[in-house]
Amino acid sequence: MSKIEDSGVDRISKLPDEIVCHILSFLPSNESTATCLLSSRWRFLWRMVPSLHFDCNTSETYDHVDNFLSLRATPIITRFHLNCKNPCFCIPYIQKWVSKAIHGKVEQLNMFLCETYHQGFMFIPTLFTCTTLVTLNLNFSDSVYLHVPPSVHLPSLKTLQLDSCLSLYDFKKFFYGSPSLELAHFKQSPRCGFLPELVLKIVRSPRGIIQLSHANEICAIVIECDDGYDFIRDYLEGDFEKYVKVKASIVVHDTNSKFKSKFRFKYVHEYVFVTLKRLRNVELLSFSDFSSWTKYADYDEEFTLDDLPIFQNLVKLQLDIKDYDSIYWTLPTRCPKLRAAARDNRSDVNKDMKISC
Amino acid sequence: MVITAKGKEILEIAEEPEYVMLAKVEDLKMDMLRIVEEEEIKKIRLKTSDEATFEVEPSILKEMKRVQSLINTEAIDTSVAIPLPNITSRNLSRIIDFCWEHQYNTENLEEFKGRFLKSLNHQELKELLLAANYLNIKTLFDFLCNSFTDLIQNESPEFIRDFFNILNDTNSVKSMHAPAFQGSIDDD
Repeated sequence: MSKIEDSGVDRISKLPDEIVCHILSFLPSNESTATCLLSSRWRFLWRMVPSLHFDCNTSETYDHVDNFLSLRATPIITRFHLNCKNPCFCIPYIQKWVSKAIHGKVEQLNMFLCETYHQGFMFIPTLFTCTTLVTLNLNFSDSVYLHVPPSVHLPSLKTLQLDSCLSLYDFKKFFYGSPSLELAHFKQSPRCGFLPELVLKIVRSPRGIIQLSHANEICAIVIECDDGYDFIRDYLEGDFEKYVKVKASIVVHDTNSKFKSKFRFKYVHEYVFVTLKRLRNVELLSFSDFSSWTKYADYDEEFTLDDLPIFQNLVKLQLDIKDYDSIYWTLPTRCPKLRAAARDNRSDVNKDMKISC
Repeated sequence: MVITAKGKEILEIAEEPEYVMLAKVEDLKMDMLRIVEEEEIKKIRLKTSDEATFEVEPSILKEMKRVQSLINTEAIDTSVAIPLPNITSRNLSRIIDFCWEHQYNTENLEEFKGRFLKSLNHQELKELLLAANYLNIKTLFDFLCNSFTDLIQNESPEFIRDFFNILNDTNSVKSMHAPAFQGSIDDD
C-alpha cells in the first residue's frame, strides 16, 4: 500500500493482515478500534479483528457496542471477553452478544460480572453445547446465580474456570459434558449462603498425569495419579475404594486461631478422620497437621487410635506434624505394609519419636 | 538455628529434608526413562533455510501442524529432511525449545516464558511470530501475539507506528471516519 513500507530494508516489518488482526484480538475492542487512526492501511483493519473485548461500566457503553458490532466486517469471533461492573444494564445485551459469539465460532469466552444482581442468570442454551469453545471462564459475583441446563456438551473444551455461585452438582454437569478437559478450576464461594467454601482444581496433563486438589477451610487434599486411572469421576461420585495407585497428600490448616472453640476443633478433626478413612487404600501418603492439639488435650480421649483406619496398601508415608500431642503421630502403626516413613524436620520436637519402618 | 517456642526447643533445618531430595532424584529418573522411551520412536528431520538439519521427535512435531499435515498427506520418506525455506536455524531451535518446555515443563512454564521473551528483541519477536504462523503452532503463535499486545497496549499512536513501522498518511482521514468507540469507554 505504502511505497516507503515496501522499499524499506526491514522486510518483515509489514506483518500480514491476519496476523495483525490476531494481535489486535488480544486488545480491548476500544483500543483495537483506535488503531484506525494509524494509517490508511490500518483504517479498516479493526473491522476484521476476530474478537469482542469489552470492559463496561456505564449504560452508554451498550450503544457503542451495538455500533461497533454493526460496523464489523467479519462474523468470526474467536475470543469474547466481557468485564462488566454493572450487570443490571448489561444483562439484556449479554444474550445477544454471546449468541453472536457462538455464531462466530467462539473459542475463548471470559466473563466477569460483579456488583449485585439479585436474580438467577441464564445463558442462551446453545452456549452449553457450543462445539468450538476451548476456554470458558465465568467469574460472577456472589449474588449472581448461574443456571446450568441439565445437559452440557462441550466437546472441545480444554480449560474451564468457574468462579461463581454454582453448586458442585452444576460443576459435575460441566465436567461430565467436557471429555477433552485438561484444566478445571472450580470455586464455590461461601457467601452463597448454604454452600461451604470449596476450591477444586483438576489437571489432566497430556503425559497422562492426573491431579486433583480439593481445598476448603479445614484442609487441602491433593491426589495425583500417573498410571492412567482417571479417578476424578470416582472422586466426584464419592467412590474412594479404587484409590490404590495414587499419591495423596493432606494438609490440615491451623484453624485454631480462626475458630477458637473446642467444638470447632472436634468438627475439623472429624472431617480429617473421614478423609483419611476415604483414602485408606492408597500406597503413598503425605500428611501434615498444623493445628495445635496441646490446646485441646482433653480431646485425646474422643479421638482414639481405633478411629484411624488401617492403611492396607500404604508403603510410603510422610509426616509433618506441628504438635507433639497430635494423634496423627500414631499413623505409622496403622500401616502394616509400610516400607518408608519420613518426617519433616521442621517440627523436630519429636526427635525421639519412633518411626516404624 | 535453634529457636525456642512455647518453651520447647525447635530445630530448624534450612536444607530440604532428605526424603524430598530422594523424591526429586526418583522423579528425575522417571523423566529420564520417559525421554529414553521416546528416543526409540523415529525422529523426523527438518532442514532450515540456512541448510541446518534438525532431528525432531514426533511429540514436538505434533505441535507443528503444517509439518504434521505434510507428513500425513504425502507419504514422506523420513530419511530425507523436510525443507523449511522460511525458517532460520536460530528460530527453529527457539521453536523446538518452546514446544519442548510447553509439553514437559509443567511447574515453571511461566518463568520459562518470561525468560524466553526477554531473550528476544522486537525484530526477533516478529520473525518468530511469522515462523510460528508458517508452521502453524497455535500455542506459540497465541503466546507471541499476546506478548505483542502487551507491548503495544496503552501506548501512543507514535509508538505503535514506530513499532509496526507504519507510515502516517492519515491526517486527512481522521476526521472523516470516526471510530465506533470515541474513547467513551472508561479505561480502568
